[in-house]
Order: sequence, then structure tokens, then C-alpha cells
Amino acid sequence: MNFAEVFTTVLSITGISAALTIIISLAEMKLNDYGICTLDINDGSKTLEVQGGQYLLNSLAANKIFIPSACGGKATCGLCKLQVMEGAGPLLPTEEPYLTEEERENHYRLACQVKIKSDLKLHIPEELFNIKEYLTNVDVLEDLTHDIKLVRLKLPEGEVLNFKPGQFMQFYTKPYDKIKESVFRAYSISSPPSEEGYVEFCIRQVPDGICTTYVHTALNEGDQVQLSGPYGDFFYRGNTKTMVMVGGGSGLAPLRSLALDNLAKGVDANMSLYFGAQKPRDLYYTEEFRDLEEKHDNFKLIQSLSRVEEGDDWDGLTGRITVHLDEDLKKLEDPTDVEAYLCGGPGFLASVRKVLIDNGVPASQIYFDEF
Amino acid sequence: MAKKDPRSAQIQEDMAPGSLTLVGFLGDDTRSYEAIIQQDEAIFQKEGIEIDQVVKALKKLTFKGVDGLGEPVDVGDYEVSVDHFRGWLYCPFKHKKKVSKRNTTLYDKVTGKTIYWSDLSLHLIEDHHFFQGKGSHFRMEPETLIEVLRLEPLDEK
Repeated sequence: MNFAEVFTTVLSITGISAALTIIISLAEMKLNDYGICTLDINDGSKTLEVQGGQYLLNSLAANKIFIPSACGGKATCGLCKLQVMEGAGPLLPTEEPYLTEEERENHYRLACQVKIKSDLKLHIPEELFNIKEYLTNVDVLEDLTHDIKLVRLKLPEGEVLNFKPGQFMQFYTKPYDKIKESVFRAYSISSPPSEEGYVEFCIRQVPDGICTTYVHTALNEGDQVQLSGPYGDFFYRGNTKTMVMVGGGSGLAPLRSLALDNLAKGVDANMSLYFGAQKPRDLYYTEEFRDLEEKHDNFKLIQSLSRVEEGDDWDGLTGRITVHLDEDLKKLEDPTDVEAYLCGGPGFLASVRKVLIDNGVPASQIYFDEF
Repeated sequence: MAKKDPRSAQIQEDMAPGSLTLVGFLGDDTRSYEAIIQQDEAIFQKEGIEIDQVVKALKKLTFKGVDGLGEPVDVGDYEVSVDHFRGWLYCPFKHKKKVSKRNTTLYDKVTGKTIYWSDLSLHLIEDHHFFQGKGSHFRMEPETLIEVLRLEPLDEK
């Protein structure tokens, strides 16, 4: 084969390959072009025209409808469930582990896995429409304890955050260090709604936590922080004469919001806030709560430390907080007239819940956010 | 090099630092997660130890440690403490919903060795035989586990 023949052969193969690539690209564009699709939400109460081919979770968020999600669309948390009544196509294997038989029958899907390929009919709980996105600035960032930071964020001018004390927000990080993408995590609001224009969080450093490490090492005062919310059904019911709040670690955050709000509103229930920690260095907001005790006869703070050592500056209660809660509950005339609000890790919640139930507090009156 | 199937590639990607956790699951190990699993399984097989024995022993210790509510608990030759943090961790294998952030620290008073695992580690070992990559914070070397947990081949008992 001479040079001209080799050249012609190579040129022909290259030409055929290029032509095939163009044909495949055109076919892909044509096949994956789902055009504009209509999202019919809650039987026509809201309609959105969106570009097909996007995932439902992202498409709704782009239209300011925020469905709770903790994993950012990786199909690992299963939180972004909503009802897709028509048009979603078959259930995907990635969704199956997160949906019960009943949910599947009721057309629940994971919004992060449903690709919009045609018009969809959706049912979205009304309360999710109150969820908004906020672009805030860090006003104060300071240590509350050795491992908990106060993050006080300033809302945009004129913006109002309507939330119930006890609810949480999703807090978005920016890429930092090895973290190449924004992630978000849920944190309870620690300030009361009366703090207009600001919202506060108490964020504890979790070993290797992506978001908490961002807050503790990369975030600075003045930085921008994106939030969405409010979320959650942990809020004050107010149907009993006694309110018991029990928290540990950063679990004090929503309880602070609840207590400050109730006291500001003049709620006349007897309120006891139990806070368990290990050492004096783990205590925070003590002065603020002691001041409230002096001002309000119906509020008291009970702190207990479980790991006090000789030389520690502590003359208060010692041992696990559940022991003191148990003692106090036994003194109550009517434990059925108690509502309990708990916040902490799952192990802590389980042990506090047991003490409450063993003392006659109805399980239906024990509220907590487990996230 | 053979191309990974998309699911396997996604799992490998989710195991990298910053995807599901800050430090990831692979440490500075350059092997694929499949290779890590195979090689760790081979070590246990060679020693005649079932991975189920490891899981049972670790779970039992976490269970004992929970009673301490964050305080160290004496369990025979060991001191066990269990710390709970708010939030959840997600399995990179997309296998189960979520696992709470609970870490167990075991100090072996006999050997002086300390090992550290999370509830997610337990799930990864039990359901996927994945002990994580070398250099990962939660990597537990098979040989160390066999020594610290005093594991013996079942047929020698």
C-alpha cells in the first residue's frame, strides 16, 4: 500500500467517525429534548412550566419550592418524598429502599430521582410553600463553648423569616478545602422569632462533619450564607400546665428559642429547662437563663454535669441529667399534664424518653426532632 | 484498564473526601473499594475468622458502651465510650437509608491498643465487608481487629 492509499484510508475512517459522532450527538439532542413540561401542583392550584430533562427536586427549587433533602440529591437520605400522581414513569431501583409499600401505592417518589420527561401532576404539602431561600451575612461568629459556635446571620434588608420556635433551617456551605461542592445540613434555630432581621444557630463541631467543619474553620464574619426553611414539626403545643424541656450539647438551641419565645409571650405554663453536660466548659447561655429565672417565677434552669473533676469550678448538680429529671417528675401531682420537648442525639433522646414515660408522661406529649 | 460500571463508579466517587463525609472512606488508599474488600476478606479467610464474628463483637461492645451516655464504661479487658452526635451518615453503597452519627472508642487495657468505629463502619462491615481504605479515620486493620477482639477460628473453639 503506497502513501496515497494509506492517506485516503485514514481520511475515510476519520470522516466516517466524525459523521457518526455528529449523527449520535444530533440523535441524543433530539431524544433527550423533552421540551417544556408542565408541573401541575395540588390539582391546578399552582402550575409551572419547566424545561424537561431536569430532576424534579432541582426544578422545584429553581421555582422557589424547597422540598426538604439532606443529601443534596444523591438518593441517600430519602427525605425528598412527594406524591407524583401522573407522569413520573416507573419507580427506579434507587428509590425503592426509601419507599414503603403504602407510599408506593400512594404515588410517593423521591423528587431527586424523578427526571422530568413529560407533564407531571404533583401533590405537595401546603406548609412547604412557606419555605423560602435566604441569602444572609454572618453578623456574629463566636465560641459559646470549646466546641459550639454561635452563628448569628443577618437577613437581607426587609426580609422576614416566619418560623415557629423549635423549627430548623438548612444551612448551605460553600466549597472549601477538599470539598468541591456546596452541601447543606439542618440546624435548629436558637433565636426567637422576635429577633427580627436576624437568625441564630448553635453549631457543634462534629468530628469529620463537612458542614460543622466549614462553620468552625472556614466561615468568617461578613461571609455570605445561604439558608432555606423553615422546616420541621417540633414546636410548642401548649396544651398542658407543665412544660419540660430537656437537652444536651447543641440540643439547647431549639429549646432556647422555645423558652425565650414563650416567656416573651407570657405563656403561663411552668417551664423547666434541663441541660446535661459533662464538664463546666460545656455549659453555655447559663447567665441568660439565670436572668430569666429571676424575672419569671414560672421558669427554672436545671443543669447537671456528669464528669466533674477536682478543681473544677462547679458547685451545682452532678450526675446524669436524667437522674434529676426522674426525681423531679416523681414529685409532680399529675404527670399526664406535662408536655416534654427534647433535643439531643438519639441515645440521649431514648434515655430521656424512657424516664418520662416511666413517670407517666404520655408518649403522645413527648416531642423531639430526630435529625 | 477496564471501565467501571456506572453504579460502581458512583460508589467510588461517593467514597472520596467531601462527598458524603469530610474525609471520605478511602483515606490515601489508591485501590478500588472492590479490591479493598477482596483483600480484607482474604485476610480473615486465611485466619479462619468469619466477618460475622467481628460484627457481633463490635456491636456487643457498642451496645455495652451506650449505657455510659458518653462516659467510659468498663467492659472486662476494655474501656468503651460511645459518643452520639446529631445528624446522620449515608451509606455510599446506597444500601440503607441512614445511620446515626454514633462513634465507639475501644481501649484494650491488655494490648494498650485503641480502635474506633462508627455505626456506619458497622453497617459497611456487616453488609458490604468494607473496612475502609488505609489512612481513613475509620479504617480498622483486620489483624488488629483479630488481636484486640481476641477472635479465634470458629472450628477451634
